[in-house]
Amino acid sequence: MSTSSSSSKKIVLKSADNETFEIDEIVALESQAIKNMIEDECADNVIPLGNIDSKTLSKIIEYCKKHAESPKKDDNADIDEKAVEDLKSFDAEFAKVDMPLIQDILMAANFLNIDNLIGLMCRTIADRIKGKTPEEIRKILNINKNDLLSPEQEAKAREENSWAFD
Amino acid sequence: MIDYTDSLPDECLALIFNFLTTTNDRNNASLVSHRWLRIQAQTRTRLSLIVQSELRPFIPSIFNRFNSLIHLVLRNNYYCTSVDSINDNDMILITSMCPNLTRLELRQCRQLTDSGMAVFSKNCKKLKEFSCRDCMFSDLGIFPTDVKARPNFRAAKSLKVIELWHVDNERLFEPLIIASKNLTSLTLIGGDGSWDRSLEMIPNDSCLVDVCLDGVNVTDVGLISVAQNCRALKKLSLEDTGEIGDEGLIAVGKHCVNLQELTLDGVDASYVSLQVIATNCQNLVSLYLSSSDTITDVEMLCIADKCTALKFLCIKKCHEVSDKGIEAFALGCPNLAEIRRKGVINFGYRAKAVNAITSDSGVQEHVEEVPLAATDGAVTRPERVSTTSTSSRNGDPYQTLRRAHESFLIFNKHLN
Repeated sequence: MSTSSSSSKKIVLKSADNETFEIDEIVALESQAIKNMIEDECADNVIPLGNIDSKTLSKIIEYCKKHAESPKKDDNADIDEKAVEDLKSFDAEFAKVDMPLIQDILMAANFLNIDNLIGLMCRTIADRIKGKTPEEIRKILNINKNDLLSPEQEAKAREENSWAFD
Repeated sequence: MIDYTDSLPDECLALIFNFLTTTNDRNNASLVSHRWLRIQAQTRTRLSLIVQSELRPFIPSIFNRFNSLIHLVLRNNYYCTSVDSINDNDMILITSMCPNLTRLELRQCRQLTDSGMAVFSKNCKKLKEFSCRDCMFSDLGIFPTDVKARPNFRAAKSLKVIELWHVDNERLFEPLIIASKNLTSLTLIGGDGSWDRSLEMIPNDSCLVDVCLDGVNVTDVGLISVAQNCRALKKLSLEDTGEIGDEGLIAVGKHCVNLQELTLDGVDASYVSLQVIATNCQNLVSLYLSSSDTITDVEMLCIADKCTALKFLCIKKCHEVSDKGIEAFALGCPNLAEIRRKGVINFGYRAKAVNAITSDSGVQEHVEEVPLAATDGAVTRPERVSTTSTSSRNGDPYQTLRRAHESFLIFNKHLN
């Protein structure tokens, strides 16, 4: 999948479950980690990504394709505004996935060093816990029960919070 | 079930906190787990505390938890008249726990005295910005002039920004101003202090670029000292400042040739001084003139004629300035982008309006000879229109075009 009609240089990514994805180099360059590999000439024909499954990887490629295609800032201001809007709505749609997948994408984006995608995923998580109580947040994110504050610790932290303003 | 955040690095969690914009959300998130509590504290670099004495028992735990602070605000309620606040010992404890502070703001900390401030200044060696408002301590002379005498103290050296609000005994702040060799911004607001003497002590190699004197007692004597000693000055704001007049402003024009932004609010300046400033300060891009009856059409002509770099001009409550004065800008100030008077006169928009009109009447060539087409008229921000302004300026497109046409006639008159 994700092949392009253009004759530009191709990069092949291989997921943990051995699925291969051929993509334009320009799309791969959205990942700072892959960019470094290519620049250091330590990328073979196929880049194995042993910790990213094919479902996550295809989402990430979808994201990188869209972002690589859209015009970069400081081009023509008129185009800029429209493109920014377009990218915004793409990002909003892209983020409509369940928590396990968000976690996988975030981990992978972190590994591949794709700043925009890391930001998008963290913002998505932040949006989902906004206006929620600590208990609701724990539920949304399945927070590890072994790490919870004791009632005394929580009371102390609450007291401190009540003094501190921004 | 797995914890979705378990495998995420701390940096990702920190980023999530950065996207939580309300205090309430961040506080709720901090209570989620030990890890979240720790990361919330680490991501917090700015803290504002209400410093009533009941805060005292929580000081150690609060500052143990928030150990990455660089910006600290200690304040009481503004309208609180009681003197209840933290004291010197609290201040010493707090600052000893925040060694990385770069900005400290004190508001209504009425029980702080000189000795508390003395120790704090030793603790905060990286302090760059200091702001104090309605405090009772008298003496920032604790910022010593002789650094050798107190080798541990470097605050005055590192200080770049000082803001003093409502200071009544200005002499006690003199050592601070003198010792702060690297000061770039000085703001004095309100209070009964008389600042001429202190301003006279500004070292003659001062690196001040930004000086704001608002509602303080300063005369031409103080301003002349600022002008003579602060050659690097780029931004000067004088608002309701006692007895400043042409003499002080002439000194500004003579010495501060790098001036880029000038605000004169309630200052009686005339063309005598504005002419010097306009002629010498060739980098002046922003000029705000307000609440003065000595600013008249004559001053407008002078500015239009000489301020070649000017981009923004704001004229408020200068009742002696008429439309005629504004018309001077039809041909002057080639870089002017905007005049704010009773509403905003946007010059770019103006030029288009004139073009639109003139292309119909077939005399567009005339307009193209004018470097920048504009006079009074197009109101792009109606909310800035004062109640006394003429209703014709309220964004009616036909009015705009008619006014554009009027202005075109004015150009024509000038061209012929």
